[in-house]
Amino acid sequence: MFTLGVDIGSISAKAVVLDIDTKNMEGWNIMPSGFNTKETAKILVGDLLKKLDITMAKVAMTISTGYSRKNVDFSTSQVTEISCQAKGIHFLFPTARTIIDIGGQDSKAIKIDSHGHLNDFEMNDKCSAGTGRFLEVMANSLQVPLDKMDQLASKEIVPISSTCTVFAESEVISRIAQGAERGAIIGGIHESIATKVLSLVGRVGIEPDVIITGGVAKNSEVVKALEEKMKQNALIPEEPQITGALGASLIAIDKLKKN
Amino acid sequence: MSEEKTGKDTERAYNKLYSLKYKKAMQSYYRNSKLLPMVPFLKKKVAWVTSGSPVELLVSAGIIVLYPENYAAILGGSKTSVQACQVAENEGFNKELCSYARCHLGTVFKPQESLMKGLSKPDLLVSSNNICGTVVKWFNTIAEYYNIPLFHLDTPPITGTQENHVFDYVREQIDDLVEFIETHTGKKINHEKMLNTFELSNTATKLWMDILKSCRNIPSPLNCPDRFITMAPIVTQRGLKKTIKVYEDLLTEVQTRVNTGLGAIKNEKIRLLWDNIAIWYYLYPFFNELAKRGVVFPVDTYTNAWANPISGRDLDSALDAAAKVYSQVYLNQDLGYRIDLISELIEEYKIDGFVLHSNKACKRYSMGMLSYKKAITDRTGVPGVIIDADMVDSRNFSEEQTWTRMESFIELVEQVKFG
Repeated sequence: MFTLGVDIGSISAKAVVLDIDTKNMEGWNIMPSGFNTKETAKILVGDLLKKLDITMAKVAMTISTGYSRKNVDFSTSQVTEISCQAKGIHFLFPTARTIIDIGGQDSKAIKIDSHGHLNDFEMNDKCSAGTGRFLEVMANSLQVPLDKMDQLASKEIVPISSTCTVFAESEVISRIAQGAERGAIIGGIHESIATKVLSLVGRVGIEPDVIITGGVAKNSEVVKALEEKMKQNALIPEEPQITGALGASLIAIDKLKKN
Repeated sequence: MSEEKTGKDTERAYNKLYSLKYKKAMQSYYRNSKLLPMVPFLKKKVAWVTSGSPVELLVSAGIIVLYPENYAAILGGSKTSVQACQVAENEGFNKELCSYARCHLGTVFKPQESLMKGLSKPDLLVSSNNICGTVVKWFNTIAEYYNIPLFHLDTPPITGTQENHVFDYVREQIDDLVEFIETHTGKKINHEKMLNTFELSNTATKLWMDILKSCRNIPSPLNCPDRFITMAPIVTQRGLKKTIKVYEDLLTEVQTRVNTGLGAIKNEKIRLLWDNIAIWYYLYPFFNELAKRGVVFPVDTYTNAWANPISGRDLDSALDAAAKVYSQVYLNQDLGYRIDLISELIEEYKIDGFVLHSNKACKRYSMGMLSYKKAITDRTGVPGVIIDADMVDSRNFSEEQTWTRMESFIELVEQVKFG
């Protein structure tokens, strides 16, 4: 039998299937959340189960998380992404104490103890600075694919002083008008995110091991800038986008075992 | 927006209060404040005051006292506050200013477009910076706009304990305020009446304190919205006989709840503390949703701010007590005081976690929040969470983000409490 974790974030939807007995990750799936998240959840899970040749009858429990967690019609219960991240990361990295989750809509700094218990957390405010959305808006302005941002960044950077996404976008546009190198502007954007995230992590305190998750963790330059600012190396999960869904799936196993 | 109105739930997660005298008291308070100044032979003067003003002196002089802060909260509850804020913003008041101030000033500039067509026009103003610095400029603006006299009670912030010369400075101003009132009403305030007003204020305050303290019981007989709403008369009508009746009635109901084990919510599991002013436009959706999850708020720092009785054997000692109480209010104290108080309340009310509302509109209440959150958790072992919002400007509030934080926090508290 299996458990299913479904994480419907503001930009990406993720699902993970675990074997209840071995906790082996049978498979996972990622797709854009889109505007109809109810439908997205069905397609996301349908495709994954089909690929794994597992029927829904073999899924003993489904837990949903993320911003649209309540839109997953087939989930047994919902848990917030903060608790799911804590669970998922502790499973992958038992030595983790600080988790930095930079998602599409918000970024979070999470403190956990040696048992993986949630100790404290902080989230960004209503502003989207320091989130994946910030990076996405800037990538659009610069007409660069989001997943190529880190490869195109140059060492020399043009500082982007505005933290506000809207103001930063106009700043980027004026830098382009001034003839600044695209790679240098990208470098400035990465610095800007790292600065904003650093002040968030500072609120809970940086304690090793530090793990960075979420879509932005795939950008090696943001990770590098953040590591430099924290004066601390960070560990990145093999697939940083699915740790929330993994946590949800693990919480489902715990719940089943408790019952 | 109550649950009944939205029709979302037929089954309420909370128990409704039946003592409604507070509601009637507020209705007649606002009605009288409109009608009485219109009766010429009564010669009633209207004063607008800040929430931390020594109102007993004005009440003794027969003045109708109105609170722009209370009015702004009502606008928030009725979801007309943003519109009022925008009027002030169009007049050049910055969006970063206190939203009570912007909201109220909006109604001053365009009363015809405002709830109740604004407050009755004032004859005089009394402000005190014991609650914040914004009131100085806010009330100055009103004084200039109407060209009316303003008395400002200056209460230097307290670090540690209040120094004698600071107390003397405030005490002298209390005498000056009496003189100010007498000058502008053209009448001496009767000393016996003044002492009696302090006594009435004192009695109502003590009843309010008993009501608040009854929430130490498990289950708590009152939740945050109960206190936030029923506090209105203790804020606006201290020193009046009928206010005592309001709280005698409420205390009776609260004591009955305690004796019969009836809680404010139907299934109390988690007890939290609330710090800061209410999110007025989201009051019921917030607390009632949490009530469904078994979360009650038996205590808050906000309604506790009116739990300081002023007593004295004679007028002089009553005025001494007034100088002390009004200059030593919660918001005029340092962070150490705040940490001590919240830590004590956590213990007294058997609290599992605390919620700090980082109120964009109220810098004085929200400053140092990160530091005192950590200090309180270090001292008590109880976790806390900060939520970002604004008391009446809903443009500074994100429902989804607030719920992500609150739900995560509840998961954390549940993990600590139930394993």
